[in-house]
Amino acid sequence: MRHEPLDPRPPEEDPVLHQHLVLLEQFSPRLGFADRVLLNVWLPLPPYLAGIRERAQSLLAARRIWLFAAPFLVGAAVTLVSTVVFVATHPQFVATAWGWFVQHGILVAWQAATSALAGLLATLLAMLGVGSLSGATVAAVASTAVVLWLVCAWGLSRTLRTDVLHRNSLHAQR
Amino acid sequence: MQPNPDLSGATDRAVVQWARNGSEAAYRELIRRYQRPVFSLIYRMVRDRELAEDLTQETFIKVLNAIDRYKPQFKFSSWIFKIANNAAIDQLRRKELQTLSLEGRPDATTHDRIQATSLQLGDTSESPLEEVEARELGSAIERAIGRLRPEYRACIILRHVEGRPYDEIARILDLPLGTVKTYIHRARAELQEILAPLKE
Repeated sequence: MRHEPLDPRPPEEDPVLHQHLVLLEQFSPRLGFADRVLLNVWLPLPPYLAGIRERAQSLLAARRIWLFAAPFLVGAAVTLVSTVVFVATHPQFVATAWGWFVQHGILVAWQAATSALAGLLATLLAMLGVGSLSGATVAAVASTAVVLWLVCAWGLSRTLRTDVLHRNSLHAQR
Repeated sequence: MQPNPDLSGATDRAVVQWARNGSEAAYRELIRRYQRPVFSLIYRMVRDRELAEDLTQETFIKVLNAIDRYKPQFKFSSWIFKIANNAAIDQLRRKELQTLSLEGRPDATTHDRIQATSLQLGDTSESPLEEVEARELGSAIERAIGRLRPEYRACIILRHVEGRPYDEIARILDLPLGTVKTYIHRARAELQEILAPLKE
């Protein structure tokens, strides 16, 4: 491919010299040049991914977020593990629940899910030996847990809001 | 994510914008557009294919890794040619320091080596290596361009081979417009003088 000159030649120039210069060959680097270059080039992330990464980095950089995020993560992990244990130890129940779900549709599935949760809760309480506790003690523990979750949720939302305000003020300063 | 537009018909500015958004196809398009002009400029400046290849690669890596810092009010071509020319000039300066040291190259330890690498006053002929390179480059005009001072060489290549306007050449080389015109005028005169015997 001959590279086309961008500028017309001024008339006062030596036409013979021009002819020589214009006919000069354009050289090419060896095959695979683009690949060799791109191996050493860091391609930026698309904007939507860059935004998510920036957000995640700024959140992880804020230490106090862990005060609230940690209980949530622990809670989520405990729930997940309990569910897996329950499913593994009650296959018959899960099969029955699935059959009901398939047979009777969403309403039945909902009922099955709530029974499963109830079963899970009963199992957990049995595992923790809470069965022997009085109703008042269980209610107090449950209330404390609810309060703790509410505090965590409030703290998390505040932290996120403060972070957004901080970022906005930084953008405004720029 | 939006699909890439027809990159081959897009302006440099648009392609750069796509590259900034992380499109590998846009990076490849920029390389496709400029690999030949940039390589040709550097090759004619340093007159060594391997070295030109390394410097061209270095230029593209530098430009593409700094694509976020590119200012769209300037031409992309000016930016990449400027970096390419600087790379070539730096290389020529380094080579000059190595080959024109009065005491020979710093790594020369034996008497023969010191003599071989020390400055040869009054010797303006081409070395065997340069002759081979000149032959590879081909025609008499290439040899004539190779004899020009690097500043003249860059001006004449950008003007006549790449067809860049004077003001862009001035931006690329960081020189006043008047200086660029003078260099091109002198370079043409030198080329005509060198090529005169061939015309007869």
